[in-house]
Amino acid sequence: MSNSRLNWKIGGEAGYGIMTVGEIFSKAFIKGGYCVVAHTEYPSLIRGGHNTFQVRIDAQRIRAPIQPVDILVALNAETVELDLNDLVPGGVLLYDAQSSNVAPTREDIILCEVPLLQLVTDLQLPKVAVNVAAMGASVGLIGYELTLLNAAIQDAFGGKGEKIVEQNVSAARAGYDYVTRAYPEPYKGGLAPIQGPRRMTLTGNDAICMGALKAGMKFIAIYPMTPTHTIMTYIASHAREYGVAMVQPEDEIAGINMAVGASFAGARSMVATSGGGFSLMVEGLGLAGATENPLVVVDGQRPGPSTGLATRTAQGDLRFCLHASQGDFFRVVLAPGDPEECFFETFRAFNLADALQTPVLVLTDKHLATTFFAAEPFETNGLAIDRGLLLAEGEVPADFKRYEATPTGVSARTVPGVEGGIFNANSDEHDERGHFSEDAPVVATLVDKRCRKYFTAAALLDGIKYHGNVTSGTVLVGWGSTKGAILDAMDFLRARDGVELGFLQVLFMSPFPSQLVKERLEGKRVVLIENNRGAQLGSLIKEHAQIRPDHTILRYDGRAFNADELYERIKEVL
Amino acid sequence: MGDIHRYDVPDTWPTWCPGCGNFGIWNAMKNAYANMDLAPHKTAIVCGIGCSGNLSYWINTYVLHSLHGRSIPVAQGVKLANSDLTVIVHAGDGDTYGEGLGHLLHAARRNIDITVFVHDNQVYGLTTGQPSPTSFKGTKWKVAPEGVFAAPVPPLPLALIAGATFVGRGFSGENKHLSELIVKAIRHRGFSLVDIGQPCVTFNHVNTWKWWNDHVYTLDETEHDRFDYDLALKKAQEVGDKIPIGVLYEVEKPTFDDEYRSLNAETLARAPIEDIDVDKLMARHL
Ligand SMILES: Cc1ncc(C[n+]2csc(CCOP(=O)(O)OP(=O)(O)O)c2C)c(N)n1
Ligand code: SF4
Ligand SMILES: [Mg+2]
Repeated sequence: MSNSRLNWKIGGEAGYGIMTVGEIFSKAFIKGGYCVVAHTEYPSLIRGGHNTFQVRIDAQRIRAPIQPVDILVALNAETVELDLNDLVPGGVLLYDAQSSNVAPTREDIILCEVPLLQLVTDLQLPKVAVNVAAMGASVGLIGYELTLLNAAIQDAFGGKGEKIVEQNVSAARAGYDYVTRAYPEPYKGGLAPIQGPRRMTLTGNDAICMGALKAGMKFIAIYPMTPTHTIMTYIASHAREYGVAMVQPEDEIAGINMAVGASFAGARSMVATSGGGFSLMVEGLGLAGATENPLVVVDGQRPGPSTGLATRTAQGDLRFCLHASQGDFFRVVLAPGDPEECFFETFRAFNLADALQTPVLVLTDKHLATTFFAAEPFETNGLAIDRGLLLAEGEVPADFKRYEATPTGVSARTVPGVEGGIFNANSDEHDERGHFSEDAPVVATLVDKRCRKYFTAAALLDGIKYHGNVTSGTVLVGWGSTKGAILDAMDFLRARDGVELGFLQVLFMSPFPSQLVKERLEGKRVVLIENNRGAQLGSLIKEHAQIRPDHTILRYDGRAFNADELYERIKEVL
Repeated sequence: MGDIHRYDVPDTWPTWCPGCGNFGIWNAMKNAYANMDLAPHKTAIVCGIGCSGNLSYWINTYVLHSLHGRSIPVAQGVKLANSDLTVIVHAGDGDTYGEGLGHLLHAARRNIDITVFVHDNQVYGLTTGQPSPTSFKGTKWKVAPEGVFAAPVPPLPLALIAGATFVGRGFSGENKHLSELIVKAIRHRGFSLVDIGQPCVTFNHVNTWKWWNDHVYTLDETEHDRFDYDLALKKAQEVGDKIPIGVLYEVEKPTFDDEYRSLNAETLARAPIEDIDVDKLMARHL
């Protein structure tokens, strides 16, 4: 820690409110002008197990976690055992000797003993309040503003009534008072609020929900599955306000088929799941493709085939999402890399689904979906709804052909209720009117029609973003949630080594931006970075741009890249 | 009485085998629609995959010819998006009681206002004659030369127990009766299941026209109290020597779509979506 940054980590067992801590602690610093990245690691258990929240705070723009921790708050002995090595030399272990009764094995750290349990017991509060007392103690330790923590507590618990807010504020105050009395000197000079932009504290999932609501999503079916289950919570609490029907279906098969039905009837529709649920949805995805129904599908990736690591992160579903379903049809596949992109690309996904009349898949992962980030409010002026060739009452031509083989592949669409627009949305191969057909030329014509949308879409989209030095001989390449770690690692390279690299972020995987990728990578030393074992984006680049990466940096142990770790790994190959 | 030919798709004729029970269902439904003067453009039919689902080609309403077993979820999505539509499912016994049985029970417990007609030929027609979930135990098939080992699925009792608010059985051969049953089922607000005996002349040599004619009898409305749940459950299990047709059960209950409608004043499919304000959401994250 210097007086412009802090890396803080709290650990304890599940069931003791570690999860709520991350958002509150982040918000206390975001309100104070700081940038924050707060990620959680926890096993797939409800009680017990080792849960952590790590909050990286910085006056500069940051986007990803780093490993070395300045202050470790241990709510149990296990945290001391497992996380003590994360502490930097001179870092602080804040713990309660009564509940974490282990002798810390390091001598190069500062021990800060706070009787957290006693403090909350004295206030006659339940044991879970120790995490709030620990936040208060941490704020005291660095001499930060307690009022900002209280404001974040108010935001988090306000809905539960004044009494709950007061109890939590009193727990925070007790921790704060104890520490400022016992350790009056702020740790390493302390951390004070700064003048920074007003920022939101939010996760990728929150941003996806906002994007979907802004886009006029009216129907969503979600069967709970980590890490997209919090989309369900978010939408449920705003469903009435925004006039959305959210259904918890009996399974993901029902969910996607309901969404296809709702879309056929004219409502903007979405499903959200993870790989296992998406596996069940595959036939329904094909139904949307064959009947040319708009649909937005969010796949929050997690590691492994089958159940895998339910609460960890990975980018292993890219190829699966590109190819899921039998037969030929075009789908859009895109991967936002931060909350801004989660918001704007989800909004755009609904427009693309309508404009192209086909499914649009949005890939996130546990890291992006559930990490708290700081983001400036999204500029929504200029976001326009595009429903594509959706015909209203009175606009239907006399000789209406729902599946007319147009040059763009997109044909005018009606929905039930519109007079003169009757058609069969037929999952069988069909002719331009939707009538079943096995006639060879008709079949080929209609398959071509569907697939032509690839080129129509490609003309609409850039599909890449290029960050950093355009003349750099070495270009980093990645997609999705690794964006944050890559940009932060580039900042380290610039600051520590004076090296300015370029970063090609592939935003759309279908249609693949072949030409742009080629232009950016041809003749460069290419360093591919992915959170999977198969280097799936790398294989796409080979396929579409005939370029092989010179170096490949992969991580596939269920964890996201830390920016400092990635910095070291990039340096190894430079 | 409207014009029954309104519901025909011009220049087409069904490709079902001559003598197939699907013809009777097709005629009865068009008669029912004409009777109700159902507006074709305000009607959405969702079909499954099978000989039964092929009906989608020959009925002139909005149609979604969906997947094997998934027509009930699709229909629920249609209804939730626009509850002004009349939403009807036509599917097979394989569709509804095999691949999609779970969906049937969940739709019943939701009491969503859709009407499901099952063309129950006790066989997989389109895949050329395998036993279906309603084929009788012991019946022999090419793919079950020793006879079917499992007992049949009892769809009507299951639907009743799951919470369906309208349960009936019809028979393709009792066409006028079937047509009236279809009208009642569609008019009912809530989840309706009508299982329709449909001889498959090509592949089912057990449940033939003769077999059906020998077994069905029409429920006498004066004797059968269709509002009596216990009685309905008993009648629903009567599939031995005598098989009753008619309305077995009917009750009025709040529907799933009404619950949603009370949340969202607008019909979802028609709600304006320009300039939706999310600034207030963003403010909560500041
Ligand atoms: C997922 C899936 N599995 C299998 C099939 C093949 N299939 C088509 S129709 C059918 C059975 C049809 O039986 P039923 O639903 O009783 O309809 P019928 O043809 O008897 O009217 C099957 C298994 C399919 N289309 N989709
Ligand atoms: S196979 Fe059976 S169900 Fe199918 S059309 Fe022929 S008779 Fe009808
Ligand atoms: Mg059948």
